[in-house]
Amino acid sequence: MAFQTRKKFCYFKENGITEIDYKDVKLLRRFVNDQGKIMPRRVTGTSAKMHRKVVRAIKRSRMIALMPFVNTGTE
Amino acid sequence: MRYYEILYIINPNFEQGKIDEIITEVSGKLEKTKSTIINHIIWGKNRLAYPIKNQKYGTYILLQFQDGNRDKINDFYTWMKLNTLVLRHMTIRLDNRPEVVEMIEDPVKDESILEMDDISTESSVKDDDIDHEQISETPSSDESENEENK
Repeated sequence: MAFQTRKKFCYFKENGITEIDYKDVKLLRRFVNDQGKIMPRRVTGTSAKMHRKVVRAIKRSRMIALMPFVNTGTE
Repeated sequence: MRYYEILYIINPNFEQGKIDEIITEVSGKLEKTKSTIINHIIWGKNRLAYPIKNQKYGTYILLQFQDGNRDKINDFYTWMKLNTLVLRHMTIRLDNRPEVVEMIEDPVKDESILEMDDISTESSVKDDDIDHEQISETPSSDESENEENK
């Protein structure tokens, strides 16, 4: 093969994680970009089932100010 | 029987005595609804992702309980909302009974806050590196398998 394709994999499937806690900010930070936006599934490679859980967890942690809604970088 | 979890934020400038006072007050109000408290612990002082009521930091308190009288629980939530000591609270329904936590060994301290703010970029870079390593390994193995299959 001329081009080595980057194989995507589901982080949770690899690590055997089935439930995501909204308090686990360290884990959830992997799935947002610098601005604090949730990254799409096509970028992270997360399975559809787990992506829905990630989204819910991120939105919950935003409500309780563990994660930012927007990260402007000016503070 | 359902299990719920409330995470609420109080002013970070309160002393330990004041925090204990608030915890007992919240517990007292919740016990009026005949709920059984499983955990009620200080989760840690943390930097807020965005300011709430002009506060940049907050003390997080975690409360897990088994529901009692559901008709009366709304009074508790109204009280929580009107309570000026609580900056913000959020209730989540849990799927399973939570484990009893005696004490969190190392509550989130100022050092870890700095870590989150300053070293977050570095750590994310490190994570990326690890990812790339894993990624570079996996396709090669797949290719070899494919070749074998062919």
